[in-house]
Amino acid sequence: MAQFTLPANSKITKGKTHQLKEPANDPKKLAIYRWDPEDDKNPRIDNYEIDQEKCGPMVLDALMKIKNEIDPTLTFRRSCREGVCGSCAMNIDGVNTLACLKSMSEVKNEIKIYPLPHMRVVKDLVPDLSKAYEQLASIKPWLQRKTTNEEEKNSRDEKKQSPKDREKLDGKWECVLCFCCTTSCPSYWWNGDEYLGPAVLLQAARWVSDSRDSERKERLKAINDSLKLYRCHSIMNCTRSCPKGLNPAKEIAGLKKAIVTEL
Amino acid sequence: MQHIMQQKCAVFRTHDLISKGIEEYLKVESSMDDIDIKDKSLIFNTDLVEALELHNLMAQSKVTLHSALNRTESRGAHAREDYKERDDNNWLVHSLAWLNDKGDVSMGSRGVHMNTLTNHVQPIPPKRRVY
Ligand code: SF4
Ligand code: SF4
Ligand code: FES
Repeated sequence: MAQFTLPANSKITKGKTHQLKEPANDPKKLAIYRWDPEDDKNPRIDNYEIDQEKCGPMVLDALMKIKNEIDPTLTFRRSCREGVCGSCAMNIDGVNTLACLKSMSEVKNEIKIYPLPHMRVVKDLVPDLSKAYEQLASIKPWLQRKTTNEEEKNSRDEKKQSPKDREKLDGKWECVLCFCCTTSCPSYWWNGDEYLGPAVLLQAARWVSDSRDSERKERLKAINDSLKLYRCHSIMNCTRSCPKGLNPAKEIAGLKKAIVTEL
Repeated sequence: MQHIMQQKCAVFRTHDLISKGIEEYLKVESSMDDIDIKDKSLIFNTDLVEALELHNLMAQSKVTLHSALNRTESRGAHAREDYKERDDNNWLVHSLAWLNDKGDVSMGSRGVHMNTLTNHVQPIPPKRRVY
């Protein structure tokens, strides 16, 4: 059988260990991926220990405690700390999720934290998302409404949507663009340069389903491509990982169906 | 700083509480000289960014504390328990605050525009909010 190993400079080495200075009632160990782009060293795993009695309940609370009190060089993205900004996506205990929504108590032993898989690492837990954002821009994630109706053109009235049409956006608008799904998709791992990935396709579905948008057909045509869309083989990793409980695989299937029936 | 602002300068406030906040703030302010940034890198240095954010928030907190102390009325989310009523005679103004290089705050005010910019809609005269 073929043997695959990581390139020499990507092999993860053992890093520093920061032990608790005082005895704790409820200690928790965290093993965190570290990589500094400014030295020539390999990535390493640093081990930290915190007292859960003196810390908030979520993994993000632990990361902030470590940054504030133990090691200010630990680098990660965060903002809202309540699962609405999508910044703190990372791989925790083997699953891509939002650190601020993941409770420490869900992880039995040591908490292992890595950056989102298969992305270039900027530093520590910060992945480079520029390609993914580029792909998002490519599906034109904004309302397009072309009209020949003179009255509508000259009117400044809002474009209304019935509650029933609004319902068609449920399961789509809630996406926080954390890319947990995209970076858990094996198809994206292999073809990320061409395949759009579940997060971006879910956004495509969101705009395709908007009753106020006039470009449904054009949007479907634009993604009707063996690489952009059909690299999805319904592996469903995306749905399993989504921290917002969405189902990108189902939305992708919906896009495929619309293409077959409408184009 | 965060604790001072949350405990001494939250929505419900009094002269004494805010004054105590200012006192505590000055202690924190004098410790700003001891700031040390452990992360020396030039790429995605969140340690440095947070220090810069703190620097900015310190100035914001100081003018907020002084503005809250200065405004002896209640209005919206500024609920002075020692001045429970809204006072349009004296306080229908924007608070202005200047923070100089030495860290001294001076207060002023500017009138509120009472008219709309076009005559499409008529201005609504200010009145007490009652629910
Ligand atoms: S269902 Fe499609 S998008 Fe989701 S993980 Fe599988 S291949 Fe990727
Ligand atoms: S679908 Fe879920 S996992 Fe994917 S980007 Fe949106 S919120 Fe994140
Ligand atoms: S910090 Fe905003 S989603 Fe976690």
